[in-house]
Amino acid sequence: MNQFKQIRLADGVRLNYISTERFRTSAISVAFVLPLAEADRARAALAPFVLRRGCEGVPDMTAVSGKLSELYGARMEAFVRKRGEVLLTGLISDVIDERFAGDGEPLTRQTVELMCRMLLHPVTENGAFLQKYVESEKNNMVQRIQARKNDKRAWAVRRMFELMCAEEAYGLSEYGEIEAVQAVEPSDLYAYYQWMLAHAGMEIFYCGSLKEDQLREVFGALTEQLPQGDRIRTVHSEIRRRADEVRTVIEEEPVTQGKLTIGLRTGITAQDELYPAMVLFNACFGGSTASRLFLGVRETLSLCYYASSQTDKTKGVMSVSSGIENANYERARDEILRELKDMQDGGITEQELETARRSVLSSLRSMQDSPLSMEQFYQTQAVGGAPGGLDELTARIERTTREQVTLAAQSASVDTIYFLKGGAAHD
Amino acid sequence: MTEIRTIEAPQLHDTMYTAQLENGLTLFYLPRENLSKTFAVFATNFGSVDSCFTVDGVRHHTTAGIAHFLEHKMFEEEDGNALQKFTRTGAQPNAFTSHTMTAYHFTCTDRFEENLNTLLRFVSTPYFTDENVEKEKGIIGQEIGMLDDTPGWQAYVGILQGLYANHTVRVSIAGSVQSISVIDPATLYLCHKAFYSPSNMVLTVCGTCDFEQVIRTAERILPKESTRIASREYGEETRFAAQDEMVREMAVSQPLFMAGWKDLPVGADESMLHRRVAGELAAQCLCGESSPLYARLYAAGLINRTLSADYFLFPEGACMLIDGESRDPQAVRAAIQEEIGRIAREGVEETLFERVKRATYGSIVRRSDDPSEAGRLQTEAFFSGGTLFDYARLCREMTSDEIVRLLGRYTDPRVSSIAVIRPQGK
Repeated sequence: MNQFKQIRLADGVRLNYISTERFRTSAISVAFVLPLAEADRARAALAPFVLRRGCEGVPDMTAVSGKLSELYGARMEAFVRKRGEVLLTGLISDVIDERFAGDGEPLTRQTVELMCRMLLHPVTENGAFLQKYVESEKNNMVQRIQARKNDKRAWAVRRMFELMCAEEAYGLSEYGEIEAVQAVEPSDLYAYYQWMLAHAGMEIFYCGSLKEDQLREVFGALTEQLPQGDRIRTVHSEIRRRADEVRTVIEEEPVTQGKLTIGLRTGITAQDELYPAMVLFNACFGGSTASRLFLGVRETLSLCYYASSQTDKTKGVMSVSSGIENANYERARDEILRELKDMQDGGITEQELETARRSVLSSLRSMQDSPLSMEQFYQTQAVGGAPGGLDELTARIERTTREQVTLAAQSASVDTIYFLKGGAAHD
Repeated sequence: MTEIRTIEAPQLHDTMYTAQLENGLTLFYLPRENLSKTFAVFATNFGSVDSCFTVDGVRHHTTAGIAHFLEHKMFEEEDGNALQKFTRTGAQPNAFTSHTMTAYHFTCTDRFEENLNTLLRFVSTPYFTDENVEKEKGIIGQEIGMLDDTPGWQAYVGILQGLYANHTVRVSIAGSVQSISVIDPATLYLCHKAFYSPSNMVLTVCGTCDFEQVIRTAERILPKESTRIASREYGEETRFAAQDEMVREMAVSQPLFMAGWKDLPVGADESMLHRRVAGELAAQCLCGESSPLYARLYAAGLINRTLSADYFLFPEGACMLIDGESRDPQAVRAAIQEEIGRIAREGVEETLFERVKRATYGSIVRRSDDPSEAGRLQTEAFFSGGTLFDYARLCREMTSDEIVRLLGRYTDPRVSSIAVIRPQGK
């Protein structure tokens, strides 16, 4: 539907793009690709936030915000993502297409140029980033790390994976540890960033109305100015096919509601033959409103306020996330595991599968409507070394059989049960 | 045949179609035929603030959380659950209740007609029994429990209680476990009859559809006549905030706050949409990302990028709300109050004002690229007396004088209040 293309701009630097006039907005991202285990996570994560503070000609926050406002409220944000055991950091932007501005300014090109300038020409003093920018972004980063605990639903999943993958890179935080962030100095951060510019893999994404020759021109200007060096090509994630034994961890927090999360190993990644079957199994299990977790555990038994499952297609793991009354812990856990067992024993019905298939196909088609959704999809595909685009995945989902989905279900083994228990301290 | 009217917005390269049925229902169609998905939203002008009303000559005082409870219960049908009917076609249904509206919607990439039928049928056909109402109390009780644990939500409820002494906006949308315990089928049927009547509702489709067919379907399924709501009451208010400050301790890593400035309600001769745009632009000029105040607070380490400013409009009330995280929320509040005074005296810099207008206009264009966002914006604009296109146009036409006048109403600190959520034991 959207013609996806990939071109090599330089060694280890790829442009992933969709050139189309379907949208009113364009999305652009530039990601540095690093191995989570070896990267200096605190510095790699902090760098784009410091870059976002200002560059030559647009030297401070007011100037940056003013420039973005003039570009009709273009957004430019630093990002830090973990995909399997790959660390991605960089800048992402979206901007409205010039057709809708009415004054003929080349908004997209100016936005890409601003992004490139932030990446290549940050504000510096004495060969280092500005002290005041680094200090204030260090503080923000520490707050960001601390604030992850505020959202208990997401926190319970993160904490569960931390416990489950304590011996794997996947258990590490993409932001680094608080102490490491606090120890960063403007000069060593700048030096590390220079190393990233020369050695990190780079994945560039663009979706919008610019054509290939225009893209080669604007991003060519970026790659030409990059320092020369051996770049990281691919980063592999360690895949453990089965869990050794089930481990249960219970921790208490002063909240009303308990959060029950379960971590499973599937060993199936986006590179696998069975990946489409895994997507469908997840939809049947807890990935849609027709799923076993939603219908059975939440609606029929009223055991949870929410209950859903997700997969990480780069690492080959799965998580179940639910919010429950503390007293329902054992019943909810048993019901979730009972549904899993039933599906592994071939209990998935044809009707269930078809409903899941429609839901998955619909969300894949919807993703094609959003430049930002495609940015996420294609970036993950690129770093996971996964073949094909959305159209191909759609075709594979259409062909997947019930037997394959049952096989995918059988690949899932429970590793860690984590219960974040609400404590009595709440007023 | 119902007449279809065309509304053009040349600058946005956009067109929409509208019609009104004999029963009073208004419909909109915003084509997005280049995209795969279609979004439909069926909304009623009935939110949590509408708890006291008169219908058929009788005045009713309903319990807190009734609109939200009704939203949950509507999905239940005599022959099952509407959610499952949508899910069978691969559609994604959902619903929400705000202070001012209840909306039911779905997104689909296939079988639109079938999904539209399901939507119109379940929203217009109440089916409540003692048993299914009792069961829902448990589910909503859990949702309320989750809200109790959500710091941002607690700050929001806190600031509305701080600003308003009597207005029903001070009551949390979902109510409390206690307030919903008295809900029974009779009250739900009453609210459905009063507020889910076609003249109080709007149906918006954004994506790809045959609009004439949509009109015929709505005419076939929905009631032929509307109930008339005689009046709605919200509670008497004074000009000043009810309370200066509200502080609560919760499991957060650093303090978060929501500060509010109480505005005058929209007058009888004033456009709600116009006020909303003025309010949003004023809030951005005051402390949006390109404002001098934002830069100062950020540089001083008093705010981070979570700071956001908004304008909230509801029947017989309006306020500017600013929320964020800060080590010292009171210092942020004081700096905002001082900046309000400065702008009221000196005015807004024209370059800043133009930038804010551009950025806001750009965000409307961006949001209107997504059928579900566009449908939602259009629904909100309709309940404010206009369209999405008016919203974008007003944004370009607004003058800085109006912004200064609006902020001038906040110079007395007594119109403001703050809700702070503090980390436990600090």
